[in-house]
Amino acid sequence: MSYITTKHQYSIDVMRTTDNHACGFMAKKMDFEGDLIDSSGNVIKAGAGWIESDYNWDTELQRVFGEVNTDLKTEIENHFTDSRKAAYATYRKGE
Amino acid sequence: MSRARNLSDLINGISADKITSGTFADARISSSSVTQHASSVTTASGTWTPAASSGSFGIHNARYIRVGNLVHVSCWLTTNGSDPGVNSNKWTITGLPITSLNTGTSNHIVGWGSFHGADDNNDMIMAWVQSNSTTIDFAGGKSAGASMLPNSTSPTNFGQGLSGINGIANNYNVRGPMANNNQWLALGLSYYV
Repeated sequence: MSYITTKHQYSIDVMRTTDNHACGFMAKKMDFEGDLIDSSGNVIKAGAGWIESDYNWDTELQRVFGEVNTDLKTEIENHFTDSRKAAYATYRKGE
Repeated sequence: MSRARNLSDLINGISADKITSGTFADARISSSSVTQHASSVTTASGTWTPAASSGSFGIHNARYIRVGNLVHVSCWLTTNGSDPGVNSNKWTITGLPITSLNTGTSNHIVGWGSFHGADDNNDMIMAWVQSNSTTIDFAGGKSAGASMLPNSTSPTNFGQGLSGINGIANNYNVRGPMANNNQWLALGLSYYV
């Protein structure tokens, strides 16, 4: 199967040509743990804030497309360099 | 007698590239002339794979349509009893088919929509997309005391105009329906690309 990719500053859009199934992948996973508050708005437990982690592209491609195309995986990995991932984390945090 | 006349007969001797303004009343322009000046519009349609940041759901149907610089996505989801957890981690849906417009500022909101049945009152909650992203954020729902402050002078990095993380859906807000089985969730959202 073949795919069309569109590279962006912090993401890559992938579309499978056979059925136009598409997914945009960000450079890295950015979760956020907020403060735990009660009904009065008081902080019960302070959250960890931003939590960064790398995507496992085998897992992601299998989940979205039902297969892992090695050329596509390589293209994604080459696009998401360490510097690009770091820049994205900074951007997402609004720093 | 037909009133249709060839423009070249009327403007005899004038080169077409000399005519840069004005109006020809009821003039018939050849289709080739029109298409030469029409900008192409990017269109696409297909399916996508929404995924929860915590917990999971079944995808009954998820489709997108792009016309120019506007994308509309929709999906019908079914819960499968996957509990996102009792914590305040931000809950999102990832996997938008096309990266949103990059305005240069991460908290600019470039798309709005709604998500039905997803908070613990089974209400409709707001959904939005921030600049340069493939992730959908959600308001926390009534029970979370979510508040949107469009006139806020201190926008957060979760979306311009939001009052803060307390307005954002977290795992606890959505665990009511998510931890159930066979509950329908419906999302519709348009955003710029």
